Amino acid sequence: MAKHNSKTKPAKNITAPGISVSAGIVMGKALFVGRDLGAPEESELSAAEARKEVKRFEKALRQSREQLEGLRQQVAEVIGEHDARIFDAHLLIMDDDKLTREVKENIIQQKRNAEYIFQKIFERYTQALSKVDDPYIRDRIADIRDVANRIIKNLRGEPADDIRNLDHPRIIVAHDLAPSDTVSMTKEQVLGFVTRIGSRTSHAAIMARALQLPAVVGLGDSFQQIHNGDMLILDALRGTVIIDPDEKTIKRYKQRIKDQEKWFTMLESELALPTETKDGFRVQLAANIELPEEVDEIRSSFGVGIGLFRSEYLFINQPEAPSEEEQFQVYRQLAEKIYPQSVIIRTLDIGGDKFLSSQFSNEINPFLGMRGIRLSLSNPSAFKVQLRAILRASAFGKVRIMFPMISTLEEVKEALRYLQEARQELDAQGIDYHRYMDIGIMIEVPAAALLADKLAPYVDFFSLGTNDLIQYSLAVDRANPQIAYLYQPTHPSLIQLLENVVHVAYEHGKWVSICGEMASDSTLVPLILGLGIHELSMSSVSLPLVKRLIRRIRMYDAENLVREARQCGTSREVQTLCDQFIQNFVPDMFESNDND
Amino acid sequence: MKTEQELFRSFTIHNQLGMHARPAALLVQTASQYQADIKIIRDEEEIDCKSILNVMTLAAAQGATLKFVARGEDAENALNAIESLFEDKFGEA
Repeated sequence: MAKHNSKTKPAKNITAPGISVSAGIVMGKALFVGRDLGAPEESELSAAEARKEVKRFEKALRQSREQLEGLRQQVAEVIGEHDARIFDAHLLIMDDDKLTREVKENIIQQKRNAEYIFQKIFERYTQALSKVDDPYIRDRIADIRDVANRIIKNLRGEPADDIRNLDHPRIIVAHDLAPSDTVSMTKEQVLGFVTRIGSRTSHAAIMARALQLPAVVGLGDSFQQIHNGDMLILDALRGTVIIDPDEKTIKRYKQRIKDQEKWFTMLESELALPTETKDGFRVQLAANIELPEEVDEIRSSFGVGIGLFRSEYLFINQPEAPSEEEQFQVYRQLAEKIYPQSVIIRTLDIGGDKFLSSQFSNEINPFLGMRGIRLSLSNPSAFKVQLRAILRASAFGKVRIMFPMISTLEEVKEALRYLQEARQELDAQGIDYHRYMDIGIMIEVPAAALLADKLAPYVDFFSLGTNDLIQYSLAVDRANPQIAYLYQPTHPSLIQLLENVVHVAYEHGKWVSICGEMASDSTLVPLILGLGIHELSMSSVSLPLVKRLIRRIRMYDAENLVREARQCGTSREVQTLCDQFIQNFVPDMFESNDND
Repeated sequence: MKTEQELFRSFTIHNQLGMHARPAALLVQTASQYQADIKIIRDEEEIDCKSILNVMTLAAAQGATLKFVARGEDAENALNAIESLFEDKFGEA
């Protein structure tokens, strides 16, 4: 597998550091996924050559069409007709006679190569479309670029980068990955992800963890060292990517890959044991999910509840919002399948970096804009459709509801008023629901963390959304690689905010959980437990490791850790304390039990 | 000059979301089934109704009225088919 085509060239063996967002080590060839065509190369042709060039263009069109039809069929069979429709739009664009006529005429008239002419004309169309004042249409520019990419690749004789047609699985390399890029990826075709930008919470990271694939994001400028087809070692345990490794490195990593399998097996064997510290404190673990299908695995492999169901994934990539009935069916199945455990359904959290296809995303600063509960409250009829669907599902299991992006008391009251209206509507129709469903809010805005004592009387629980809480506290855009270092989960201010929320929750007899990525960072788990947060919800892939850790520490030591952390003035000091904690109390954390 | 049938008709967009990508695709697919040359007239320019890239630049909202011109033997049938698309709200709400 690790055969080298470099007979004369020495291996580059470049180690590029990034951020590990999903654990594991893999080795394989790089496959670029992206829409950046680069500058078109221009060459002059004779009249005779131009006529041949038209033929070459027609051939590339035919090839592209065949590939697309094949793809469409494959996706329809493997994934479903709905997803396959993406390719109808592609095929239609390819069939645009006006465009192809224009390209052919221009090749003859201007006597230039097909790539050059085609790309120039395509760019003109995409520019015209990008000016259209309709987000639906602007979304389609991505489709057009996909088609253009495919045709140009066929013109250049390059293999089309269809992950579905791969003989071997590859490591996907991209500037960033969008939901439309990953929609049809499966574990059989993909070894892992490497991206130039991004963080623990970007889509690539979330998808990688959902698919249980290793991923390293935020490679920054060293990303440019990677070329399509390069051999890569993706070491998401250490957070590095090794580009074009030498034989020695490959050998070393083959051993490591073998070891990690043993380690993962061992982790799995501990899953059935109770989640309890050495001094007998029970900790509640739960899983964050975004796709309803994930629930089966959560139930069978982990036996925990759902601490966060991100309902927005029912809305994203859909031409229109799902109806009450459609939503109800999804929520009901979740509730039934996870029973006797509970599921926390978070109402639509759109905005920030996630948008509906129907929504204008032209805010200058979307993370400070119309998102989460703000959007729901601005559209009460759509909000109530979701509330009714969730209420109806509550009759079929243990369902809890949670509102995202709360920053004021008025928002809580208003959301509750709509919930009450939804209840009354159901009463009037004689539809059953659970009357005392737990209601919670996300604490992810510093204002809400500080206002917790005023919010507490209105809710049953708080859920700490640390990803956004960190971002808003430190005023750092986590997707901006230049300031990504400021995204500091151990910042002393964050500890103060969390302590305040926990304190208020205990005082008011409310429960508090954490559903940010912080909960799955094994070095931070002792800190979280020590703060008094005993419910942790995370991507399922992190559950085995966190469980192993919890079973190896004492709550007593974790509380001491917090006492020391309170004295710190910098994130680095707190992080050092946390790292030392692991070294002192669980030195065998990353080792498998049998030592050979 | 050849005497060719040239028909003008106007249709109003009734579906809530306007002429977005899916209705645009339907319109192009329908128009392409006919021999007639079909254009949509916007301001001074004619938009080729068989070109998805052109139709998408329309971005007409609900309530907008589009003027069609069809030239060719089956122009009448083509416009009838297009009319029923509009009346049917492109199968949407």
